[in-house]
Amino acid sequence: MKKKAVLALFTAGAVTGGLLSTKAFAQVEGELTPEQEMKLVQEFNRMLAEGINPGEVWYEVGKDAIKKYNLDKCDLGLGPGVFKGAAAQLPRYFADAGKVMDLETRVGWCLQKHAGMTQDQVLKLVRQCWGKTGNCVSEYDGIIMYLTMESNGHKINVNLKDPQVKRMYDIGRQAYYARIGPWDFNCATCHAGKQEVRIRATRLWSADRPGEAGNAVSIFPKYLVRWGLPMTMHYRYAECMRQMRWPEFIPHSDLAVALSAYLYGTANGTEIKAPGIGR
Amino acid sequence: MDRRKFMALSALAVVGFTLAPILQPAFGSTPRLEDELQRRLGVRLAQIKEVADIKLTAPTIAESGANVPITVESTIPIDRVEHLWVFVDKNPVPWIADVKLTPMNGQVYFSTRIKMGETSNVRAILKLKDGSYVMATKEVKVTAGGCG
Amino acid sequence: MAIGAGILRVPKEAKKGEIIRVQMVITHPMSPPRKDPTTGQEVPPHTLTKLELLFNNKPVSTVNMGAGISANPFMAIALKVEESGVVKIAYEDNKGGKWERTAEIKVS
Repeated sequence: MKKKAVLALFTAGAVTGGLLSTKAFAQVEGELTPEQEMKLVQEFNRMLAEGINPGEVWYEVGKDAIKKYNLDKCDLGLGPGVFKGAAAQLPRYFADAGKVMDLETRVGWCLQKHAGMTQDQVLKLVRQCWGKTGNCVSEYDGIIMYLTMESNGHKINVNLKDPQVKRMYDIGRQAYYARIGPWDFNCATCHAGKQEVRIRATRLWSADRPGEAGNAVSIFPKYLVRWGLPMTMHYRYAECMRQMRWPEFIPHSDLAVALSAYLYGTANGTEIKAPGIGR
Repeated sequence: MDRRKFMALSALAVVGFTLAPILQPAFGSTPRLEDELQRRLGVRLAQIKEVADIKLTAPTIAESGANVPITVESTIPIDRVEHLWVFVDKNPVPWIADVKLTPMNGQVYFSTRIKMGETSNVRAILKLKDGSYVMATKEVKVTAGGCG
Repeated sequence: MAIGAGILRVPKEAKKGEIIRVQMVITHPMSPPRKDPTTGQEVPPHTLTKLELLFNNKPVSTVNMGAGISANPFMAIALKVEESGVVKIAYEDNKGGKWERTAEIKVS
């Protein structure tokens, strides 16, 4: 609800506002074909992407936070403190942890190991800006933005030949297509299949159409203009599961890693271009 | 809201919907806009001439009113221009921003992202050195987006 | 690092007399006055109010703004460069916050 509060403020004088937007709505529906409306929404998104992406401000936040939390000792798979291109090869198997980890899970592990934080403290840091709008700048979002942007221009390259990674990929795929929760919903309900699925004028990407999973995940963290902050992949998972009425999503959980293994594995070959921007 | 109130409002909505195009022609003004123009520019909307040499770029549909990208450009030489204003007719506060321009700008160019509470006209108004006002207008339809 | 931090971006190099785009993003809530949904209390607005663009300390433009500008504002303004120098933005909000950022440009 908080997220809608900003807009609600601007429709103050509810009756008038309501009337006028009803009218506007009717006009849009009446005058434009769905194809025309979709084209115009794409034009809106293209205009949003011009200029400086406010999400880039988080890069500097992350640069400072990495020093503060001792993360220059963090090994993302290419050696301690080697971050260029490191995010592009995640998720991968980490012998020191004895498991497969994606970027965010690995950062959480490093925060425990190198910054002496407990798991609870890490999760609190991860969720600091969840549900907030306007001006919430979290160091965690900064760290993930910094580490991802250090891989900009690198192609996603998840090693699916590693049996441990492949196992998580398979579990992730199952979770993606699993119908659970009171609404019998899954990720695939919206984001799978050869047939096009739309919500209003937005054409939804599908994991089953070549290149589309890549386009979707390669721009995370994605700056969301309606909340004024960047959304990391785990925040995205949490929001999707909340909307699907699934049990509460726990960041850095095996479920998150499995989904990342499936999505980033499917996205192999796509260039990382963070941050993206969207509504 | 109880049922009766809801019905009354629905009826109102229908009337509003039917009459709205007559009451509010596309380029018509609003009292709030007129107040702001009077206060900040000292003119009425009718005194501002719509001209082709100001280009106001904005999306025809905005899927979020929280962040509508707009760009104002003009081929009017910069040394003939004094000031630029951006207004959104139907916002609670129609005044969005204004920019003092100087020859050092080289060109009239201002781009930003603005909030819009609902579908409305966006206006870019220039005050010229000769004291006259000229403008460009563009309607932006604010709609709800998809999944979030 | 929080409110007021930002990015100021200009091309590294330009030709004499070229009109460049000065782009900026500033982190700021740009919140209008509102009622707190839980306590019902009035929450005052918090917005940037003024931004000045200077080139080699000469005033170029002044932007006045309020809550109609989106959170974490993006802005771009034209600047004609006749010489190398320093592009500066100085900005303030309605709670007394004042900030500055600079960027250099080489003109040949």
